[in-house]
Amino acid sequence: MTCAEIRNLLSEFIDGEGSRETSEAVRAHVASCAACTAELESLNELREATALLAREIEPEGDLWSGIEADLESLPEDAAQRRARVFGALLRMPRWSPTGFAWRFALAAVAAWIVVVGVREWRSRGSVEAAAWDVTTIEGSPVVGSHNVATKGSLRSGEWLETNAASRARIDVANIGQVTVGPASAIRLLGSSDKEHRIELARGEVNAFIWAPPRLFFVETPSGVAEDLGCQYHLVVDEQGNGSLEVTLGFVSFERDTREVIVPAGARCDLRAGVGPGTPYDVDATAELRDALASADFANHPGAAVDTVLAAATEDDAVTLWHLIPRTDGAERERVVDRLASWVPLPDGTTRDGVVALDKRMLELWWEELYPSWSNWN
Amino acid sequence: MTESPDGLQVAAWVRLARTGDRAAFERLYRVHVGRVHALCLRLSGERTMANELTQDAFVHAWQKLSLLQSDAAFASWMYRLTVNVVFMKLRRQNKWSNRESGSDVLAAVEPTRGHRDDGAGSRIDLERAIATLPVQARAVFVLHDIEGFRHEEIADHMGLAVGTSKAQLHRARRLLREVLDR
Repeated sequence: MTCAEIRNLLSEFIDGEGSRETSEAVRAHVASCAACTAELESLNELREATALLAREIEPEGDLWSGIEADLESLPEDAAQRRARVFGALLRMPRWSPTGFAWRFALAAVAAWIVVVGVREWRSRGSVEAAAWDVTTIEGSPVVGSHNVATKGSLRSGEWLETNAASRARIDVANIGQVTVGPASAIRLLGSSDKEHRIELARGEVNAFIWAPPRLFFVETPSGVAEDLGCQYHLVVDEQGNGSLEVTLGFVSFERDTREVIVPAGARCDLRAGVGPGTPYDVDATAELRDALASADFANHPGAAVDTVLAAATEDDAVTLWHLIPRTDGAERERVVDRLASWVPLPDGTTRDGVVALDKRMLELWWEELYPSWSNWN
Repeated sequence: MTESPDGLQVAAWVRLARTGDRAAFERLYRVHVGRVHALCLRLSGERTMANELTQDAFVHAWQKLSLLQSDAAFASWMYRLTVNVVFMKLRRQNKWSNRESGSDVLAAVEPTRGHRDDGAGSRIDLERAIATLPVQARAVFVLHDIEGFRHEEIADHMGLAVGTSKAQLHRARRLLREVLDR
């Protein structure tokens, strides 16, 4: 290799990121080339100097009073809601005539559950649960080291495990039920009147929650599912990957700064250590799903937007809404225009505002796409 | 700067803050504000914007605290969240194109030198050189070489291919050496 080629590899070489063959070639060349040796030393000096830079730089004034004022001025629910809706990813669901009818049917059911469920929840009060009741549906589930013949209980910190031939139902305090599928392992992390939290290490659960939103959380290797009401299916495989499919209401799924909101009729794939992918309609085409997976998890966005737009139908509005903040420039405009051709921008929004990622406008558009959203949030 | 608490203490503050305890959240702020602000300042290159971004990052953290998976992992979660807040803002303000900045970072860094030892001058030179980098190269350099992010994480945050992140780092280091050798 020439000196110019070697110098292009030195940056990766000092980070130890080149292949073994490349590293050996660099090492051999540097050993016999004074100019490239000097170049390598210069890079090492830069690295050493960088390591001495201050990791902390205090702001000149105290910012806490401003932060506190912000926290004070934001109604907690509204703040949480905005954070949900406008995270790193946004989402939107079905819209076609059939989807429309189904959506309103679901909205009616959802509204009923909100009214009845909240009344029930309130009537029972918000007393902290000492343990959750476990009922065997099939086989012999195990809590800790004890088989659950017919009835048992699950306490904070305890694991409930099922084998390939067993299933169980858990009463989640007074807010809902979780069905634990075969070959699953879940742990109760905590249960109080502020939140109920379990861990799903592997397997699958069906959750049906009738309490107000944001009380029930499921931690997985891919992130945290937060119930926004009210029914969903969560799967985690042996590698920690999985999927979330919502059948009623909405579920937020988040890991660090990756966030999606999955509405009824949609699903999103999950990757351990990465987080959720872009949600898609359960009937989305394989082309669309493959393009999303490639962009979400393989870091190859390539022509993903082109593929999605070519494959998308009105039922894929959920995907397009989430893609708005995940695209830039002309691509974002194409996504917005396609979505607007299906669901016109509502009053209070403009194309320019949406393209500029105005949070309020995106929220209004979301509500236009999902009228039942306001029942839950 | 606040004295560093141990991990158990931070985890306890996180747990309290999740229940709505503002005093606990303020303690988290006091411990982490220096590094969060350094990140905002180096990525944005503007002192006023860095203050706003620091504020936004902590407000955002308060709102999302219930989603933090491990109480003990607050610091790394906070820094990743900060990076996302900064990039969202830069994109929203169309400042994601190549752009130079600079003097604000130096103004903020110089008073922190304290007694001027032999290395202080070279650190200021390096800060000055970093501040002159094009914005994407600077972001990759700050995240990789100062903050210790992996290329995969940087690519995810910035919406780049991993190869592009590596190329930007190579470019940043080359430009820095050119500036420092002048």
